[in-house]
Amino acid sequence: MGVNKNIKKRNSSFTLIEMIVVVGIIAFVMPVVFSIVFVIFQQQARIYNLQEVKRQGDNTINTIQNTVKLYGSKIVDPTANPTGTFPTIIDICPQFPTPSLSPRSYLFLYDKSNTAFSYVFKDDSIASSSPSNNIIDLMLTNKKVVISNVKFSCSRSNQFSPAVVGAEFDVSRIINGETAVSMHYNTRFKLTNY
Amino acid sequence: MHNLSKYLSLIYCKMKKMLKSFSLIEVLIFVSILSLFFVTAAMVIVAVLQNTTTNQNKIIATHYAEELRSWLQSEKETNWGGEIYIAPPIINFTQHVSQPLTDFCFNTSPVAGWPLSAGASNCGFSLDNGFRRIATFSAIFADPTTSPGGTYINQVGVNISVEWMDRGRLYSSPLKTVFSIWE
Repeated sequence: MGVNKNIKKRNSSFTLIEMIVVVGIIAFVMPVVFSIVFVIFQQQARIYNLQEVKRQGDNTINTIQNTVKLYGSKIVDPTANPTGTFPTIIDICPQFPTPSLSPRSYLFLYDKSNTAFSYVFKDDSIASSSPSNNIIDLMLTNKKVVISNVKFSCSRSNQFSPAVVGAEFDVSRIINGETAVSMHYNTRFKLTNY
Repeated sequence: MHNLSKYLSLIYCKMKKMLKSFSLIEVLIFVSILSLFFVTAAMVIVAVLQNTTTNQNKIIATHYAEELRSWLQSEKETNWGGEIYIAPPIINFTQHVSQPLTDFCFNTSPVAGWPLSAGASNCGFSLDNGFRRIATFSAIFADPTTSPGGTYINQVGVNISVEWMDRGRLYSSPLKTVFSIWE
């Protein structure tokens, strides 16, 4: 009789209390584990966003600065730029103490050999173009980031000094319609090839 | 009959052995190993989170340091000067950096201009609610044997340090550069 009782005991399943305790522990542990994993993923995503914004912002400002500083000779207004075989290229950078050129979202330049190149705010990015070099609307950033508040300006201290070009913009990463990360970029530099 | 009883008692012994529960020592060892595992996992998670926060701040601090370097470069390019500071008014880059106190607190982003007074002793962590940005300058004079003489500054060394506090510890992202009139 004793043996039967023990065999019966061994074959018995979990009791309700045991199940409730186990499920309770799992219900307590799982949200904690998932919330930790969520926080880690969130932090990693923020780091990725920051790196992406900084990488593309740095690249954009360096590209503009290096190209314009090295090759830019005259800054012109495309709306006033005369066309023809021998166009008259008028440098529009005002002379000090005339107030600096009002900030605009484009920068049109000519190099020493009168090859035109430009940077224009377009489709939430900055497009680089140089038609005679077959470069049309080469975007300086990809779709992962958005560029806004683009302002180009220029001034010079006297008639014979090189133009000082200012470039300013914000680089942001938008996720679900909200700005996750944003960085401001601002630089001013002298043309070395004026 | 005798054999059957012997057989049944053998089965009973085996069953009893199988049904034996864990001893206290076994349970304690198991719980200790389990808790060691959980404590290690928790420590790793905390370290990962702290490291991630530090990396975030480092990226932002690097951006602030580069922002100031770029602004200083534009100041240098537009108005180098070359003279040493003697008395106000300050009209150029070299006069700014050769003041008696050569460290400056630039706690605005974008940089709004030169701070009103030199010296960074009261530079709080007010930049982006947790950073402070200090630039220390060292003027390098031209060779005194050459014209126009030893008071002309032809190079300026800059140490930019963006600092922040995290869990009572001071972190820093330094940036060192030299500005020269011949650039």
